[in-house]
Amino acid sequence: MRTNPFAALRSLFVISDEQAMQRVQTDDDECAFAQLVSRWEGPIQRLCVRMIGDAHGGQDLAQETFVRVFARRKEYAPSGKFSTWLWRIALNLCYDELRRRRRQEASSFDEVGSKTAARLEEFLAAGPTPDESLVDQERQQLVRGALRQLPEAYRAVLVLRHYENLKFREIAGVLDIPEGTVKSRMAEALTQMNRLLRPMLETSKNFEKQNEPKESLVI
Amino acid sequence: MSFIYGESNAAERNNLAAHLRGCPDCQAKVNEWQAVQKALNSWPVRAPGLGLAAKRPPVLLVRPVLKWAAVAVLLLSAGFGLGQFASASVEADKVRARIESQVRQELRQEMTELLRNQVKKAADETLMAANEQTKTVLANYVREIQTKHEQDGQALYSALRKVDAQRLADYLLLKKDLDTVAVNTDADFRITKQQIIQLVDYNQPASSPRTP
Repeated sequence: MRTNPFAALRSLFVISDEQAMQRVQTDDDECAFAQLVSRWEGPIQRLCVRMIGDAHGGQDLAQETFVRVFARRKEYAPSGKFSTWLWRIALNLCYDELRRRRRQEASSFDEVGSKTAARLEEFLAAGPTPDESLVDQERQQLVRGALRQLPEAYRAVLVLRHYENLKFREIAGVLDIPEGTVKSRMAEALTQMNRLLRPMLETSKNFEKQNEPKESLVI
Repeated sequence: MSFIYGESNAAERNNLAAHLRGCPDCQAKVNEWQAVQKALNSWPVRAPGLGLAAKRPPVLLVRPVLKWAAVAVLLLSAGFGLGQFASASVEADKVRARIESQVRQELRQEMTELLRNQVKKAADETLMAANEQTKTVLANYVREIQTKHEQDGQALYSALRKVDAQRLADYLLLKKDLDTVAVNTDADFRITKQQIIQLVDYNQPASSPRTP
């Protein structure tokens, strides 16, 4: 296979995540830290948004993740994969936030009011853009709502595998559980999502059936 | 599950495909899962930058390399062309060789210099921007920690004041109860004293002698 010579040249100037993190750890290298943030802000943000179901909250959590990475840089074990450590920090922050929100909802005096306000805020924060059709927006809301109903342990596996494309083995490393358990959770997550999204799936199936090319009558 | 997400090898895939052909329940399950996979893709999430990192250093290496590679190709082609049209003499070969080596040397020097400058510039820009951004983020973090400490301190102070007020109230109640007990005890003492005096009077024989 022919390798791109410019890619090979470029690779001399691009350091790995582990090398960058080591520089952050030993020299407080801000440039290396900036590189890590630049590479990982997208995936971490997407994870946080999908785990807690709200865009602004997800953005805040993603920011908090990197602050924590810097604050705990001395705890990073250079022999381990940086991404595993990073995913773990982000997920733990998501779990904490979900726990905090549950406590807040439970202890609120005006439960109905606060729940309604929270849901409205999330709906507005989710912000489908004007160029998306109403159908797309509705489907997004359904998927978002279904994901929120999934238990957190299953949700994490589903988001990491389906949306962030981590292999099952990598997810096992992040969650510190056996690979078999990861696969079982994923199977259960998909089964539950099938149940939660049944109306949407039925509609899609009917829509596809209606738009199948029909056989023409031969006279 | 590995099959659904393309993590199984060819042998596993073939085995599973063979099984699915003969097992409608498993096939139905796989269909369900694949339908869910498709539905999940209805929710794309945009992730705008967090503003923590500097802009990525521009990929400056490609254009200059292309530019100089084009120059090198032109010069070498010119040299080759000259060699083709000129007589196949030793002089032409020497000239071509000299041109080539000169071009190569100059090209090498220029590229090295250019690379060094570009990398230094990109690194400086990235470092400066990253420095500022990181300082801002850390300052915000420290401020948040301080605010939280203040809030915790205020909550503690408020709790202590409540405890103090409660203690004072309890003390006042206790004092009132003690005063009541003291008053009642005093009254009881007086009654008891009177009773003792009466008893003494009653028990004392008549002291005044009778006159004959």
